[in-house]
Amino acid sequence: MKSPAGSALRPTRWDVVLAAAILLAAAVTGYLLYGNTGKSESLTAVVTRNGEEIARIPLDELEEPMELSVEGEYTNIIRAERGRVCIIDSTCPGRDCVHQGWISRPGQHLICLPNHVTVTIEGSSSSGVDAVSG
Amino acid sequence: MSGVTRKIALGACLTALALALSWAESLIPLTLFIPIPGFRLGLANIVTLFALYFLGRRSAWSVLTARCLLGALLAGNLTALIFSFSGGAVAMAVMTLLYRNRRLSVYGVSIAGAAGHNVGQIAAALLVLGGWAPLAYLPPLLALSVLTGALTGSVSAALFRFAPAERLFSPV
Repeated sequence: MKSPAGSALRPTRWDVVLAAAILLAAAVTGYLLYGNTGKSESLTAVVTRNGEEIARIPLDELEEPMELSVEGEYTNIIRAERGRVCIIDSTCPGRDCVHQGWISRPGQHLICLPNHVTVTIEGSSSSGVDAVSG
Repeated sequence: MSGVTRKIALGACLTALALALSWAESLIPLTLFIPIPGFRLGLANIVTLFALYFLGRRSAWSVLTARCLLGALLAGNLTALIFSFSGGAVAMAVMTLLYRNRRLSVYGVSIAGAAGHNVGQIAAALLVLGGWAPLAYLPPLLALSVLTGALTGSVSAALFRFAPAERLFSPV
């Protein structure tokens, strides 16, 4: 039977290198994912369940707050106001989706894993710069 | 007790312990402070590390599989199984590759496992949710995995010191 005798129990230099590599990977993927979200003219919240689009809410054209109920294995209540959206209530366990709070910028997401629901903000830029750089 | 019997008994104990730890950490409302779906301490990984170092890779994979299956049965949903196993399997694969590497300590192996766990879960989320949205959580989860991995690594290192192999495997 194997024993861990001899295996290092104190952090080594290579542990630090490994940790740094993971942080670097986080920074690089972060830059690639969020780096190009510029200012945009219109904001649209796109709601999907199981990968299928079920609603599209133009956030910047909303005169009054609206709520949308998404039924699945659980129920998510999505609240949209002018320029922002959140999952205000949910019957899922953990309610991580509710804790994510409001999102208001293009490229931001709300996710409810148990209910397979995502809310993504899409923005279209009028300048066309984003389309080129992104 | 023969070595094999002992190994099976210890594996069963570890499975129970891993389940208890998973449940215990679900009581800590971490996502209230860091609102990222899927973010957790990964305490059950302490058990996986222990199984890997003390019992070997086969037993460690058995403990992991049993933990995920029983966990999904207790939680009562299939989605839980997909996420716990995808994360657990990638973490396990990474740690199996690294744990014999003399240059890395338990800390490094634990951190790599934590990062692997998040990569596996994001991959599963991409498949289940059918879109690119979950990818947005990869950078913060990777960064946090260095912290949680170091934490579970330090607990494991302490555990390994106080649970010497001679005591666990000496004939009774």
